[in-house]
Amino acid sequence: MQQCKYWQSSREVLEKAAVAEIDDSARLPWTGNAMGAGDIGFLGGASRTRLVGVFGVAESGKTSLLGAWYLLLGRGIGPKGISFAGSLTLEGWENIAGNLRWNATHGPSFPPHTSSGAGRHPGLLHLDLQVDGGRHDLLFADAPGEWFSRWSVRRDAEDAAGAAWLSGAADVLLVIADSKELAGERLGTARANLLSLLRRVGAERHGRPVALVWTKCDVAVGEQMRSAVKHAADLALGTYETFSVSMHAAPGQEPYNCGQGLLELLDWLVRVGDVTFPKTVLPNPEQDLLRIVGGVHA
Amino acid sequence: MLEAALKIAVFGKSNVGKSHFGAQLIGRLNAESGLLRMRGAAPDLGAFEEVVQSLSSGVPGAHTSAGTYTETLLPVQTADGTAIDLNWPDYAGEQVSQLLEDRRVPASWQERVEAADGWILMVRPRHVPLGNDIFSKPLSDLQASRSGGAVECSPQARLVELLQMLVYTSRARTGKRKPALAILLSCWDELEAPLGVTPAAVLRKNLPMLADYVSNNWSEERRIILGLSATGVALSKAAPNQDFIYKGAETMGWVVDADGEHSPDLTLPIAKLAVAIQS
Repeated sequence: MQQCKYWQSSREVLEKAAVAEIDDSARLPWTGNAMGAGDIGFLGGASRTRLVGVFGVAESGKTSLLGAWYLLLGRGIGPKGISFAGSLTLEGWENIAGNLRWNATHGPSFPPHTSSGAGRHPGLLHLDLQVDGGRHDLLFADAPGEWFSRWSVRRDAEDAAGAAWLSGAADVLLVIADSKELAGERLGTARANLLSLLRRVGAERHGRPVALVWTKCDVAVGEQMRSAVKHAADLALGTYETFSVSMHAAPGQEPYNCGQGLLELLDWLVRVGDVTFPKTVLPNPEQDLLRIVGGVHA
Repeated sequence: MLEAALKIAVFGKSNVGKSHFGAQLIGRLNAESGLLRMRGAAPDLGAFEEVVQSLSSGVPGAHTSAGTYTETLLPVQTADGTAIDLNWPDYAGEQVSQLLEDRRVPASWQERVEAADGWILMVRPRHVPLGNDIFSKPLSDLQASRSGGAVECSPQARLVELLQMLVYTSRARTGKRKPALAILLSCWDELEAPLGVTPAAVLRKNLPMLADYVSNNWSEERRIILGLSATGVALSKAAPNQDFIYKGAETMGWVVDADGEHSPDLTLPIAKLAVAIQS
């Protein structure tokens, strides 16, 4: 088994690049890793591409949520009528989902913290899904939680530019309520942070679909706290959907499970506001995919 | 009747049995027992000579060396008389791994991929395990992330990426119709699957994401999924197989058809792919 290119040392990459310069091979127009700002010029032109923004503070389970969806699709498990049809960021998906797999020496663990670095745009993970008779391209933003903490407090903060970009570009917005934090020792702070994030999203959503997503829902949250969050979401968002998700099976569920609520949430975000997607069956769906990466006479 | 010769490219990583299938295919064509027949003699069968000789002695052929790329022209025809020039390539599977690592398609590969009307992707299910994850084998107490550990791409993600690369390469410059696809699940005998199990079911169980990718990107008429055991049994250099020596390699091996039935006709995948190409 070869390792992902992503994990190769920079020296190895440089050496290979040097060799490649002198031959007449053709470089593929996608790297497999998460896309950046330079790759997303097609967003405005590809009407069937949907950007999903996951808004939540650090360690609230945003990356795990994405990794969980990828693992389920990798097992052929999807919402009814929805299945995997391709991805331009397979290595990116593998990098976050790999931690949730068993390997020779380890059991699953949480994906690593998404580094905030100095970027102004989140990493984007691509999925091409077959949805009933048609195709949907989805991009999922895997953004560091620190951006959203800053953005909640100050919309135009310099170090929250990525969150501001995402709030402007996303077609569907998911706001994460971390059950573990809202039931933990620092629940008061967690509640305050979530409420300010809800207010910010409420002010910026401009009619777009929003869902409040309780992650780690296997952890019980006190009724009083749950009511407080719901009340705040009602005030800030008005209309919204609520989902509870966990990678752990519900009590009584078979060991070979699909977690809780993950497929329902995926189904919703794929289908919500479906009127903006073309209804016609695409005779050659991959042509659109290839057009996205450019240079193709489809 | 086809106006131009049909071209089929075979892809597969190391040790999936590309050379053994090629050698056994030649044996079947010479024996004239299958759906495809030779049209005269092949101009040069040198590339498969070593494997053919080894199999005749009941031992496996040597691994194709990394730098090798040869194409053997097999002029054949189908039962209804359709002439096909089968360009059967022989190369080391490492070249496929290299494609995935470098993300560059050498010009020679580009030409072959562009020219092909049909692709055979050989996949050895036992070598591409699905593995367990948090859903298939839950762990109640998830820990913080492992630091410093390299994440390996899952085998099925690499196979999907390979097909995506091939699709892009075949059409980036030509815009021509996407080639028909045959997924050939090799070394089927290793699976010890009961008779009647279909190749499509094995693909879905072992590589569900690849199965979805294929079914969502190739129409039913343009894709086939078959099983293959080119030699029928595992061969060992230490203990030559007596059946190969006395009965002949051309009597060994079988294909698993779409309905799960076994057939000794190793030309079946090519004949079916030819139909898919013309559909």
